[in-house]
Amino acid sequence: MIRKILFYSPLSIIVLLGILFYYSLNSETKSNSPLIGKEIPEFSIERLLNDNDQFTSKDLTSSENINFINVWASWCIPCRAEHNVLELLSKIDNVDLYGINHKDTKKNATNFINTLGNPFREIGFDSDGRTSIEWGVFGVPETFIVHRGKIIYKHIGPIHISELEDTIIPIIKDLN
Amino acid sequence: MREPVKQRIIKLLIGASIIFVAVLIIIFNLRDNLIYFYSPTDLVEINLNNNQEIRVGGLVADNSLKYEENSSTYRFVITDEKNIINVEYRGILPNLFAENKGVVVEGIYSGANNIIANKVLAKHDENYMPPEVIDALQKEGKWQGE
Amino acid sequence: MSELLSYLGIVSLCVCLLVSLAQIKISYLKSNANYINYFNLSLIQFVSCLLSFLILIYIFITSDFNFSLVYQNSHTEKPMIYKLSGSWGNHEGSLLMWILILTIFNFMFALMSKANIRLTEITVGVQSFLILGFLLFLLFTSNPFSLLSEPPNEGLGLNPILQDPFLAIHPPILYLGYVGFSLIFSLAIAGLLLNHIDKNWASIVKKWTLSAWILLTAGIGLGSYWAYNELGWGGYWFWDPVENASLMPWLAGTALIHCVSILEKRNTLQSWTVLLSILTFALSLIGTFLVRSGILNSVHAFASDPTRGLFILAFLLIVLIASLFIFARKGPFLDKEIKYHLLSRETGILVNNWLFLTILFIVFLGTVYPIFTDIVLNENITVGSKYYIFSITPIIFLFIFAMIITPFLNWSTNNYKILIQKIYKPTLLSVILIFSISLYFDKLSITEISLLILSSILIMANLNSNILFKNNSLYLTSNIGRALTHAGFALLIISIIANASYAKEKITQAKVDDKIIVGNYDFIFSSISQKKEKNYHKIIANFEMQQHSGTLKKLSPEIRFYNNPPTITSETSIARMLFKDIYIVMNVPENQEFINVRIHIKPFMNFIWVSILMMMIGGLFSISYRIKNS
Repeated sequence: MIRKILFYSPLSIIVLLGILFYYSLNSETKSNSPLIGKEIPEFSIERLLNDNDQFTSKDLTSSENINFINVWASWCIPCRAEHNVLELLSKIDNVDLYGINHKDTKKNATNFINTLGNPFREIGFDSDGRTSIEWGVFGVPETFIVHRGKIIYKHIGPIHISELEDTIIPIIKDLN
Repeated sequence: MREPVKQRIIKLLIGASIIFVAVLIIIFNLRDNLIYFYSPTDLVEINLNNNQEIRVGGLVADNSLKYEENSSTYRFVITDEKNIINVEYRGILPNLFAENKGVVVEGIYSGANNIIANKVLAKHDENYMPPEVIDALQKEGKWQGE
Repeated sequence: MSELLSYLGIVSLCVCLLVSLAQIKISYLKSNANYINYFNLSLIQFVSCLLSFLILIYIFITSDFNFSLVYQNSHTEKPMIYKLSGSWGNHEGSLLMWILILTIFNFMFALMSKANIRLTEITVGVQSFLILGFLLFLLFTSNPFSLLSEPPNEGLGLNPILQDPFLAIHPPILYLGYVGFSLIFSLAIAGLLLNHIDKNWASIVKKWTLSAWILLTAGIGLGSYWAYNELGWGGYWFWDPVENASLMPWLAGTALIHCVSILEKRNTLQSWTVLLSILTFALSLIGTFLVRSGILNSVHAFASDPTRGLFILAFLLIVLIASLFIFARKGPFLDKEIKYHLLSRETGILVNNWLFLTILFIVFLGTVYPIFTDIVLNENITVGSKYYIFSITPIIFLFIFAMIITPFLNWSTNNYKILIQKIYKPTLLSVILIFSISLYFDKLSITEISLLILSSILIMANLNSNILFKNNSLYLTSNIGRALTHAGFALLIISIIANASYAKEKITQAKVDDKIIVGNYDFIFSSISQKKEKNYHKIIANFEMQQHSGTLKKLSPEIRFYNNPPTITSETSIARMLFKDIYIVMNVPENQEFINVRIHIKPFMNFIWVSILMMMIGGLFSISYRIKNS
């Protein structure tokens, strides 16, 4: 009897550890952004394509549309990969797509846009990444859905077409 | 039949007590050698004893890096945009160390936002912040509705 | 062309996947109908994976930027050898390499196994299950052959930090070690299912276990050597979670080797052996994949790539739960109880197992505790290396003590008289030797002196009883393998202590013509120069190391400025002498006329590397002497 317990103990330890890990990591992944539901950070940064103007938080809060803010960089591969999806997004009614170019050079960022096309309504040039920090950005790409000045959703990593269909479109429908 | 059983129980008891003692020693060792991470603001809010070994992370403040040749000492400031800590370091700075980039230092807290660092760590990928630093910066961000 | 290659690469892997399914099915069926089947299939598994891997190498060597992976990790200006190593220096490529090595071991076992057909078949079946799982993971989440819709002209992967020969070769060798233990795992499961864990099984498993162990030792040694050369701290082991992740399977694997040996000779310790076989491989899996997912350094890195992370975790859990369940069911019936005396060799090995488990627990706790506190307590902590050193040192005492005594103990019976006879001379010699040395070099603590004495006894006792002179010729006993490995370990301990106690360092600034004194040496900063190379330019600080006004060595640390991508690296300069290394690193603070420099004197570094080699060579002897006798 004792022998049986002894021999089942490695299994039990692993099962317990597994549950602990799985549970904790799941909750970690879901609640990864304390920003959700909060007001967007105030910011004002240079526009990439037009030096004289600024891209500011007012641009977002003054609109009734659903705003998508995509943080990207020319040196980021997954950003290339999600470009088609961004083009699709930009074509949806009531959706405005903005970009924040993160820790990049104007030359490379502009090249990127010229080569692949510009799906963004406006692009902010955040060369030192300070603004991204305010948004709670870990890395690129990340995309925020903002409505009426509040952050509704944060997507980490590139948006796959399936995620667009399964997750993002339903959110847009909800907000409309 | 009695001999083996008695021997077995003795063996088990000896084994169990050794294990118990060993585990206790190991856990005490662990607790004695934990190095906690703080942001500059944490240090302002919490009262730490001097001479504690800690880690601090944040951004290297703009224009704060200085090298004193007489003592071969670097001095710089780490900030989390709300509070700062002064760092003193004798040693070689890692290649990815730069102003306005994220950094984590490990060393002895010497009171009133000063730390004497014995290690300076900059992450291997210059485009990512050390996650602890992000957390720390986020906590102090303006968007918290203050 | 690229599309064709991509298609071919994926199709090959699918072929491997289907064949693996077939292998599993064969092993499940009880018929011995066609024993050629599993061998043929294993050949197909190997060849299809090899083809896929060769395609991967080809697209890297030809810098085919149609492939997303090549774009991210390579560059036309990279030297050819790093283009090659770049193919496995990324997540997808290294995963493919893992799978390839799984199929290599699978095939080699099918080819060379001396086991009966049933055992071989089921082992190959379990191995194929592993291959299947990894292939699914690769195909669904980590496709190395994905294509970009608009191929760029140039790649991004020119990070000079990653262009280092040791960093190139360290993963393949480490993986050979990790994956080697997968075969042991498969053999253990097969043996469990067949109720076949006995002397016979042990004699089959032994040489595979030794091979995997030697490779893993080499992999860890290479990693440490790289860290010493490249990281600029002057250290070679940092108790970093990533390093610990490779040490843990090594600890389990070493305990396993001892158990296999006992199982073969005395037909006991069956459940220990099986449990360790499962544990070693499980730790190898953790070592490779959880490290890669970043969870050991930060939970957040894991959370930002959840698909891969959760898949890995799920796979790991499936493998572990299934195997441990089989172990729970079959385990109680495994052991053949034999009687042995308290002071016998069996007890020695049992003690050895417990000591290994203790160290494993210590390292595991230190590695996993920060994850635990981060998730549960939301605190961010690091475990200092003192924890490891203070906890492990007492265990090392017991270890060396046991290593000295056990080989001289008899099986089952005790014979302490013979034991004393064999070790009293080494003990006497060692005590005298170490005491005299410690009077001259007076920095040693009691702990260190005692460890040195014990290590010295271990070396002398081993070499004395296994290298013999008979009739004017050198004669090695059949235990020479064990003797070399244990002596190597003792040498490692001695070197670590000498290095830690007598290392010197100096941090200072220097202008040209300054003289810096460290220990018995003078370092003259003779000049500073600049030089332009193909893809970087560098600042070189030239030092002359002198003793008694003769120049012994020249050292030249550098700072390199790369253009593409703009990176700065500092190159250490190391002068290796027999009993010590001289190690210089520098910074160039901006706008200063002088440099900031750190000079280390590190004794006994060479002996650290030599001791690792000794352990490996001992392992080789243990394999080949076995073959001679069988």
